[in-house]
Amino acid sequence: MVRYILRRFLISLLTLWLLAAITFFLLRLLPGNPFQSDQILTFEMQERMMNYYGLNRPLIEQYFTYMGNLLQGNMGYSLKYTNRTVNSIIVRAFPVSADLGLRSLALALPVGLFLGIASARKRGKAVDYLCVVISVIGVSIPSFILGSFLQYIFALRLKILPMAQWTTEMHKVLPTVAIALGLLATLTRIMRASMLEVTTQDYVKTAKSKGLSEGKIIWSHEIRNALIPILTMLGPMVASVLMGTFVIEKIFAIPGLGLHFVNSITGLDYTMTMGLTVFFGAFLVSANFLVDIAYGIVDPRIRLAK
Amino acid sequence: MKKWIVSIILVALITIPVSCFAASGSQVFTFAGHNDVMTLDVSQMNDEMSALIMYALNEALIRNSYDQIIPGLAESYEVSEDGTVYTFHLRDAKWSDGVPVTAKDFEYSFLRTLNPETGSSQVSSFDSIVNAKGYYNGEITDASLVGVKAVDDKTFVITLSYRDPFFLTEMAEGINFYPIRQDYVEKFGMSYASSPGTFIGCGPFVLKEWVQGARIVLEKNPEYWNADRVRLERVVELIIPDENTRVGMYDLGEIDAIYSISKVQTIMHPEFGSKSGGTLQYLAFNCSEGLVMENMNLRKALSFGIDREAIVLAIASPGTIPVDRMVDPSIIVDGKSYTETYPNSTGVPPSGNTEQAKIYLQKALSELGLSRPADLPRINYVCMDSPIHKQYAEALQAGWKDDLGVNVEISILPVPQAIGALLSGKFDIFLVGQSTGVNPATIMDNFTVGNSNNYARWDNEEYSGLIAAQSVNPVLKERLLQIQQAEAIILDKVPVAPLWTPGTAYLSREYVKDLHYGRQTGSIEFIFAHIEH
Repeated sequence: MVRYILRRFLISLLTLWLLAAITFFLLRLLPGNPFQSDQILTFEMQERMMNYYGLNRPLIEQYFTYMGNLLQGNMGYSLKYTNRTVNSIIVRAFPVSADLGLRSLALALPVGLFLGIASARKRGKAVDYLCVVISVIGVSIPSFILGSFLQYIFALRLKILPMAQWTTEMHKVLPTVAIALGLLATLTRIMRASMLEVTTQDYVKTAKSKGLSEGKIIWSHEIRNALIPILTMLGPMVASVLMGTFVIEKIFAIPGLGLHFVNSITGLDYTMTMGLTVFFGAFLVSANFLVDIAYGIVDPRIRLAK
Repeated sequence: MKKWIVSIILVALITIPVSCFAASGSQVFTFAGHNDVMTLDVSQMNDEMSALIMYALNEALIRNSYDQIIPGLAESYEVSEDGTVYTFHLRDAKWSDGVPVTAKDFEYSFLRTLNPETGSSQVSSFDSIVNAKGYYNGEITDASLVGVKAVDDKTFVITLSYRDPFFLTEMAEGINFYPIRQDYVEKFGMSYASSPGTFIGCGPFVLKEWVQGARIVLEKNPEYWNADRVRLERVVELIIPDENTRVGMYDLGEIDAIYSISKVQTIMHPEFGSKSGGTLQYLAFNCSEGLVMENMNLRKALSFGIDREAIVLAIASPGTIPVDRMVDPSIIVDGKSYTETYPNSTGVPPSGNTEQAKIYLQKALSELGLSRPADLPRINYVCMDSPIHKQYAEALQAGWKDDLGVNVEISILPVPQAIGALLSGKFDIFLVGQSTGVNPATIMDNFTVGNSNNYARWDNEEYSGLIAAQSVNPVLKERLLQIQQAEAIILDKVPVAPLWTPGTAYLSREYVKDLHYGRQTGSIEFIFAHIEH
């Protein structure tokens, strides 16, 4: 088991290094210059800034400098928000995105699973169609439309919830709902399909022929097994939701990570993009590492492997 | 069971009070910006959002207020006979912590910005000062040779290397001429001015709160020398990146003013105000040898074929004015509009001249030995990825195709990449927007032979000679005439085709009085505003 964990850990580190290295070089392959914005900088000034930030040095040298700093946990200063380190920006923005993401998950998970189960149980009935309609709408409506629609109804028309910003609990309702609806739809769809598949399995038939009660079959045979695909997709889902969403954060003026992801790439803020990628990567990799360990604990075949 | 849940939700929704924003009677002003402040470090600052807040937090020697130069920390100043030595006499003023402001704070600030180790992109604003260029380029290492001196606590002397009639206005409109407190920089190092605790100013307001990416709160500075004139007690800037959200919050009364609103929103809000000037948008044609735009008649055909008026009416934000020259009509020299005193024109009417364009096109085709416009080589219009630039590109493309039969391909690139293409000459047509500055020749300065910012790669010795001659001409009248002559050449040869000066539209509640939108696009001036219910 110790060897297994050690191997997983080394693989995680390798993944992270590869991710950082590939991103570093890919990013620098993008044409353009980070110091250019709508107000065009003269050629001389552009060169001056490139020199100052050491971006004119050989790329390989820059790579080693960056990696050296990264090993010490230092992701450097943002090229756009001068005087702010990438670390400090992430430390400020991540909790906001994570807060929003956790709220949405807390709302979407139980409701989505419930709808999925209900719809599978009542297959072909009105409840099923209703759930299918909800999930199709949730999956297909882009979040910027959903977000604007919620704002229009609840803030502009009914005036019962604030329009934007991330301050009081009331401010957090609309963005949470906007993200949760999308998640919920996906969860409902997968739970429904998974439940339907499980229902036709032999062990369910066996349970039925044993004469077990309906409730017992659903609870301990169907739902439990149907949850496995959900658990598999929950890992990446949690990671991406915690990292923030560009559209919802923009519409609701939430100071999270989502905006930084997009703006840093379009603005060629190299250090910021690198920092965010490494952070996101580390998050995903450690989530997967934990899952792997969990598998090892649960699954005797892995646990016993020498 | 279900009814029970529904009724609980309903009761909760009704009883939980929605937070109330209306601060009636008090002097609180709330407005929305699109972007966070990038930095409050005077030496590093190069964006509009930072400049806007710094204008309220700090005070330079002189200030541009309501489009006029007013005294700032300088109580008075003298200019030497030859126009190169400016002596500023500072008034008794204090930083917001009570420490007196001295001439040393200015000397420190200017030298820090110019110091190569600071890495400022704004150093060229100081170019006319003696040895400034040499110092920031690293040719001179002794900072005391630079023409900025604190003679004593109250006297600050700036020495220029030549007479620059635009220097004072440039300083008043500039964003990097504020004083800096040395002890703050030394204490906080690289993180100086990145939060309320690490920044200090001496302006009308103090920074109370800065929630990065969300909110900036300013409060009146009781230590400000002119505090009697400041009537607002509190100013809140909410950072709202999405326009629909900004307008929605304005409609709900949560925000008192928004600016840079789009055409669509002005139709919904006919009470909007607008202004123009400060920026010029023009097409740069790549005249490099061997490229299709090297042909002058083709360039002329394209310029004459543009219906600027129709495009502005359909797409541009209100306040945008079509222009027929390379000087911004809002530039004032010696109290008079430059464009009125020194006329010039491309000869293209605002609605274009298709007939004339076709004549030029025929000439171009016969010079190139082609029979039809469709035989022209591929023309590559590189467009910055922003909604308005894309709309302009499409409108121009459609006009050229419909009226002249000329096909233009549009390549949309993210802003830094697009500018990369512009600087490296990988384009045929590019829509450039540039700040017009104070000097009428600001934009024209670029198009001289061998200049690395000559986007059009257009080589005209006579033009370059005139531009070089005017920059050192001590007689203002002659200088302005030379600029006019140079402009006539560039308008005739069309390496660039002036399009329009973009406007900006804004909305503000009528209880906000004396709010002003400055000449520079987008800047909103609130320091002397007040609320009157």
